[in-house]
Amino acid sequence: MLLPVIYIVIFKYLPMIGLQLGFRDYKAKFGLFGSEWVWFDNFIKFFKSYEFSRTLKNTVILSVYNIIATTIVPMAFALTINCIENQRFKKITQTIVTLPHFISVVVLVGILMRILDNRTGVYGVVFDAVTGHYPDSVFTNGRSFRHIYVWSGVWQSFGWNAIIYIATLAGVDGGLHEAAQIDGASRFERVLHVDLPHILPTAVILTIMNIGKLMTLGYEKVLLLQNSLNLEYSELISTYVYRVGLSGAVRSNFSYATAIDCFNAVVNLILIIAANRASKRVSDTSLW
Amino acid sequence: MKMSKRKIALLLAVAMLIAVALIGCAKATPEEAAEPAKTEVAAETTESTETAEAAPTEKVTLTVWAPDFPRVDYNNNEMTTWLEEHGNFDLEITAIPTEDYITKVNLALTVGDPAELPDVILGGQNVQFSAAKIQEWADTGTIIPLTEYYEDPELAVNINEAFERTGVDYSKQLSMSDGEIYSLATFNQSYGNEYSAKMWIYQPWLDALGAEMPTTTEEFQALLKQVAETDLNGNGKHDEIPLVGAQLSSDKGKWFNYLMNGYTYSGTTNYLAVNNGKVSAAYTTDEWKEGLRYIKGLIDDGSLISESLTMTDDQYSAILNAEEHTVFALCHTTPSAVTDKEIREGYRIVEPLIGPDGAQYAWYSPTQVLHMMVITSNCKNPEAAFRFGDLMSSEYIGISQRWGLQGTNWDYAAEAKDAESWESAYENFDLYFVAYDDAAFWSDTEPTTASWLQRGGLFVRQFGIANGIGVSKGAVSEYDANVYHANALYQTGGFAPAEVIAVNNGNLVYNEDEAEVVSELESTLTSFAQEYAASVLVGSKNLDSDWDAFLAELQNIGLDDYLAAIQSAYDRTV
Repeated sequence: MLLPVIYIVIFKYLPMIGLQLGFRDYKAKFGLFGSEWVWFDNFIKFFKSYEFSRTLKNTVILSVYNIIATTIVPMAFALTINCIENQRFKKITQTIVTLPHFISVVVLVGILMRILDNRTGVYGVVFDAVTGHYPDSVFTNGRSFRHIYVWSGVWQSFGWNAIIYIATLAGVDGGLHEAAQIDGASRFERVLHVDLPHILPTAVILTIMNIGKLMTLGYEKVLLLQNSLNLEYSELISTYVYRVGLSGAVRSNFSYATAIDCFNAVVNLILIIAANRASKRVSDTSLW
Repeated sequence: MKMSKRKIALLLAVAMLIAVALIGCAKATPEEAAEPAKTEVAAETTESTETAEAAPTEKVTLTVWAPDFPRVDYNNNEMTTWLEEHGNFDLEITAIPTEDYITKVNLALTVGDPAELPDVILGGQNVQFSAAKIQEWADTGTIIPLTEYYEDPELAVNINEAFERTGVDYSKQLSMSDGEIYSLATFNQSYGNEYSAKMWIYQPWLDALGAEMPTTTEEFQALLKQVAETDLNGNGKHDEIPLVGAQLSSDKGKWFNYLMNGYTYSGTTNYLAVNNGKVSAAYTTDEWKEGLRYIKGLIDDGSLISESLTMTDDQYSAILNAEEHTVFALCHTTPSAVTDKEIREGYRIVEPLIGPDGAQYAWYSPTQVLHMMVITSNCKNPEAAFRFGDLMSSEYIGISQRWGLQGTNWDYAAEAKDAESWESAYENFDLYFVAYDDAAFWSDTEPTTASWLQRGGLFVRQFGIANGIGVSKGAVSEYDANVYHANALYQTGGFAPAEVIAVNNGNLVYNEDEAEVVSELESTLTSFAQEYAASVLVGSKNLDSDWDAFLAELQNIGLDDYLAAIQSAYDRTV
């Protein structure tokens, strides 16, 4: 019991001391506690900046799209695999779809770029074999960015995310299915009226937790997939923080980056509270 | 999982920051720490003037840190001996693992105990000190300003000679925002690196078409179109790629600058141009607009494949090295990305193209200094330490660092053995010196005692050294000959504008205010300009109807503030 508490204090609460960076004009020579206070200047600068509306919009759209896809697909997969009687087939399938979860983001993006390359990749070669000419590159079309991002993520994670649903489904009382069968329910109707209601609370909890992370989409994969043609869709708050805060060509602006991330965290907190409230009111399921 | 990884990274970063800050608090404030160092320096210089003329009679012991390298034992090395003899030093060099050298040096100079610092800290190949780091250490007061030594002609003998040899007073590039110089530097002039956007086309296909080398943008376009329509690799398919590059922000994205240079000088990485001392962004001009129209024409012809706007360097290399050779033209310093030796030899240089209004420029980024040596506040005899750095700026070390021991590994042209069997690598340079078995000396894995192999310390080389190096007559490979020819063509062609801003604005030194503006706006502006260009080229934006909106958006981001900051940095430092 003590260990997790220590862990949380050291790695989650202590670092929050660093949040004051966002309210100071950080200079290495004066240190974290000696730099001058500028209060909300960094925040105001961000709200007024050219990047604000665009990064905010992209972050929200991509996140919402991502949450919807990564919630529905594993659920559907769990419900489907639960219907399969052949245990051997079930286990093998589950193992295969879980494996991609362990591929690192960098490797995944490398694989994606190779496969989707319109000349040297599988996509290009097959297209060429069928139609006799090379297709347009999917990467030159900025709009394709969101779909590539979300669906490659779904491919990578749906097997892993389905585990919790499959486990929940294992707990469905056999009597319910029998009763439904006696009442003349078809296989599909049983999924709809017995299995689905059973996993909905789990799905709601998971979605609430995901909403808490709405604004903090990992930047690595986005950065790796970024190019000048999809920047309009792919510049997120987190990649912007990375760009100005950590990889500045001239000078890294830690204060500004901290302020933006702090803003992010506050929005997340509000969202998670709102989602929890809404869910409590509508479905009686909630985190707290 | 992605989230947690990112958080851990962030947490670690924050934890490190806290640690640094806490330790920083415990110490005296930086100003206080810096004061005694400065007064000490002043005292040393006043008494130094008498001794400077002749080499000091008393041996000076200097403790030095240098990055390690398995082939070099600094304390048992001819170069060390040479330096000790000529400067009357006793050098005690500590080799520190190269992998975390910068980290270690940084910790020692920011939070370590100043009393434990050595007299001199050297950089080396792959471990240069960034200007930002120098500034930080200077602010902390652990490294001392050297400006007065630079200004003392009796101390900076070899450095002044180096200014003459290279024709560049590179000390200007060394000064920090407070106007002081804190470091000694490597300055390595060589052809090839200064002009890195060169167009190469595949000669066998040019011959097959019976075409001439293109000289204007128009001819180039016509030629590429011809390639697109002909099955030059003879596999029955139209899979020839007339021109390919990688995305604009990448290292292989210079094709864009090359094509644009027929219309207006498009600068380097940030597209900045200077006319009569006035800095401007090339992407706001009407010529830029016409250039975009031209490049869009190439894409519409199928001459420039649109993937060039999105490919990474890796994908680009994959295309160059595909099983079937398909690429006609590519743009880079050399065609070295092509791995097949025979195909690589087939690529020949194209001069910068002449645009419809006669514009003809080449991407030009003059040689930049690399900060390679600092003197710490713990140094008892900074003047001697400076002399040590000055000695390394000599021409002898310039050659010896790379090519070894004079008389054994190399000789000046006049003393060279078999002088008649050597010629200089570049036609327009005289044979300067001959390195006898360089491949063996440089790529050997055995330890050497002949030099430091550039792994530690600094060196200054003028064009004449690398370009006047002896190559065995008749034994130069076809590829090398192509590259020498191309380098000389661009370097001496007069394609560079009179005033330029180097790659990554490397020749500018910002003060505090300028750095703030530039760090905030530069990446946004540059990527927005690239984004607009790319969108126009693939047709998702319209060049004419979206142009005003583009200009307005640049103003919105803060183009004027940015240019004002660059201008003031330029006026002060270039």
